[in-house]
Amino acid sequence: MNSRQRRTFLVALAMLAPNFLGFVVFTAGPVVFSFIMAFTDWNLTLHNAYSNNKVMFVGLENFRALLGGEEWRYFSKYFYNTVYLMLIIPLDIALSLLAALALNSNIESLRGDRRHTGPVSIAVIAILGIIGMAMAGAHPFAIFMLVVTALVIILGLYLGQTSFRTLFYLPYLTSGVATYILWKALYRPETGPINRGLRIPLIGLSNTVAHTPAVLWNAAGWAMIIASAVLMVWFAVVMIKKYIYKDIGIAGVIFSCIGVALLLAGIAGIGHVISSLPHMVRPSPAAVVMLEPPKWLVDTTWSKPAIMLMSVFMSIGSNNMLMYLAALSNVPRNLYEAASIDGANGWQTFWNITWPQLAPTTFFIVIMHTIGGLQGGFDMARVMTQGGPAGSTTTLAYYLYERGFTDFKLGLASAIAWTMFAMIFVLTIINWRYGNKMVND
Amino acid sequence: MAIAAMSTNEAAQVHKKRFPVRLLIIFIVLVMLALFMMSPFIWQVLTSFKTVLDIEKGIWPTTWVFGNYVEVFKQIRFGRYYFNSIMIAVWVTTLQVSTSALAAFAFSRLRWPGRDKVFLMYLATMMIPGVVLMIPNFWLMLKLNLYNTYSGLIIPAAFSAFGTFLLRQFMLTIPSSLDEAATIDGADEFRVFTDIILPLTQPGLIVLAIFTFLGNYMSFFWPLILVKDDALRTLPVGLLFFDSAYGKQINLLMAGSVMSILPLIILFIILQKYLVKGIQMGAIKG
Repeated sequence: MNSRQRRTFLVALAMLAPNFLGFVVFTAGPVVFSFIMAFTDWNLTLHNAYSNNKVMFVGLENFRALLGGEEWRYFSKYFYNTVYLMLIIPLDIALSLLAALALNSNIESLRGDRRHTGPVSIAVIAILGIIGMAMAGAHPFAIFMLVVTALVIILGLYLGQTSFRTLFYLPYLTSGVATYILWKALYRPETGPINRGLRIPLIGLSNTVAHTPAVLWNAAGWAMIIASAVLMVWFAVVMIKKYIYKDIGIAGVIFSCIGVALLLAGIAGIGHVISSLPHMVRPSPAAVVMLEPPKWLVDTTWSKPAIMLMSVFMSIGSNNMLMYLAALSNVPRNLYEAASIDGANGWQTFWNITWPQLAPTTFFIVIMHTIGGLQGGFDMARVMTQGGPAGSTTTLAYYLYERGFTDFKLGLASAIAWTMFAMIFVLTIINWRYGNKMVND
Repeated sequence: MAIAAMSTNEAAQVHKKRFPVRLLIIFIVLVMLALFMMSPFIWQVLTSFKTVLDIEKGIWPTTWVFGNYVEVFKQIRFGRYYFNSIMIAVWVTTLQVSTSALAAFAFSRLRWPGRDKVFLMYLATMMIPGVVLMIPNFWLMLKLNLYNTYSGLIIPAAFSAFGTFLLRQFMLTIPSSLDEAATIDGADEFRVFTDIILPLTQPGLIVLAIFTFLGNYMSFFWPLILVKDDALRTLPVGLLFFDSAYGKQINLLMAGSVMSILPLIILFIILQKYLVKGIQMGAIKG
């Protein structure tokens, strides 16, 4: 190195030093350390300042326990929980996409329509004001909601996309402990607003079901189940046809089939519930049982769906939607124009132009959510359910916390962490290989 | 490289002189969706003004208790938690942004042996999930006597490969001709950094600062395991224990959580332009 290069090297070193030091001490070092520790029996109750025990290498013992030994029943159950919670991802993405599409079409009209917004807002205020005055003796809450609605409408008219985007993003932005505590209160079985709101319609539904022939409900439910099965088959056939014609790769087929399968499975599930309504309400010919809202977080069956519902709420307007908005605005205009010249209707335009153009974004979102889903769920579980009734909301991340920081079995916890890493690594590789391929098409 | 998220295309509208029914429907749907998404927050805010008896009665408070917000500060050390959260987040953000900016400059603007290999190491660790690092970092804090201290909360959180990565991306987009012009005029590397690169990277710095601040303000796992004393708790942990101890007093709980998320909302409304751009940049890159 000549002196010029050496100088540059020293300057670089100086600039890099703080960050690099922190990197080594808090990131790179810990990675190595954690890896080594996964192969030991490190346990803070045995190895601390007060005892003379030595940390022993135990080879693959921790992994053996996890993947077939004493810990397997926990590991498998919590892995199941984690994957179950991730099943909501297709719905998350679909809703974000819908929201992005809605927002995207919105901006192209009212923004350029200045002369309309003034009179329209006045009309809106006037109408709502009239309704409000008519309800003058009404409950203050109704008036409050009227005012809020008016505000939202006016904001939407004047600020267009930005105001809706902000409002949609708020649930995601504030998704932390404060919001989990809020939802915990919302989900309270007896006194929470969700169940209080559900009780009355459920009583109405129970009465309706009790007094109508059971066949109706059975038929409706089965119709839904059969319809979703048929749709699934039809979709799979369409995908396979596309694959044969080389319109789409095998990855595309797999991903879209899984996504659609999950959505349709949800619909089939609803169908199943509908078909069993008569039996639930009339278990025996004389008795009529009123449908009760579920106990959500304290019920082992409903705790996970409760969390999934909450996460849908938070994710509709989140980063997914923003990414879709950006991707949508990058779709070349001439594609749409060509399509409309060829006489394509809305659905065809979406399916053949918009959806493929969004494919890289969709892929990216799916992978990121899957990776996040594998390591997540800790905050929610700790705040809302402490791992859930009988471990039904314990995810792998919470499992790690339990073993590592409650039982202090840090060796085992490290093994859990690295097992999670292995899974995530596989996904990252898939992202790397297929992601690049898709983007470069 | 900036993505114009709001492309108004007048040409597409030319043949839309008739009243846009479809758009009206979409607008109505959007309004309803917006109201739906705000409903938990509306409940939250209204409940924060109720008396304890009112909580079960209905959504609208029969008596308005503004004192709930003050009561929260009395029942738990809420002011302290608030202070802790904000102070720690500010420290972490400052450290993170400054060290990352320096490092990103070294990676993007300077040539030195081993540069790309080291950067690859940074990239590799970004793939590692945070949970893997929690345990060793925890032990490290124990060993360095930083358990249950502010430094323990701040220092490990201040270093993330992601910050360097993000800023390097930003800096790479700045043409090197500017550097060369400055160097010819006699500026050394530090001058180039402070006078040329840093100002041009400002959007990136702001995005990183926002992400880091938000991430740290809401961070829960790390403060949970590291802190034993009530005086050092951050808002998320403080709220959690508030919930366990005073769970029945939902009105106070809601007041506390409203106050927790207020800074986030304010920050977001002011800075959303940068935030949105940052997120969208991530998507386009893939």
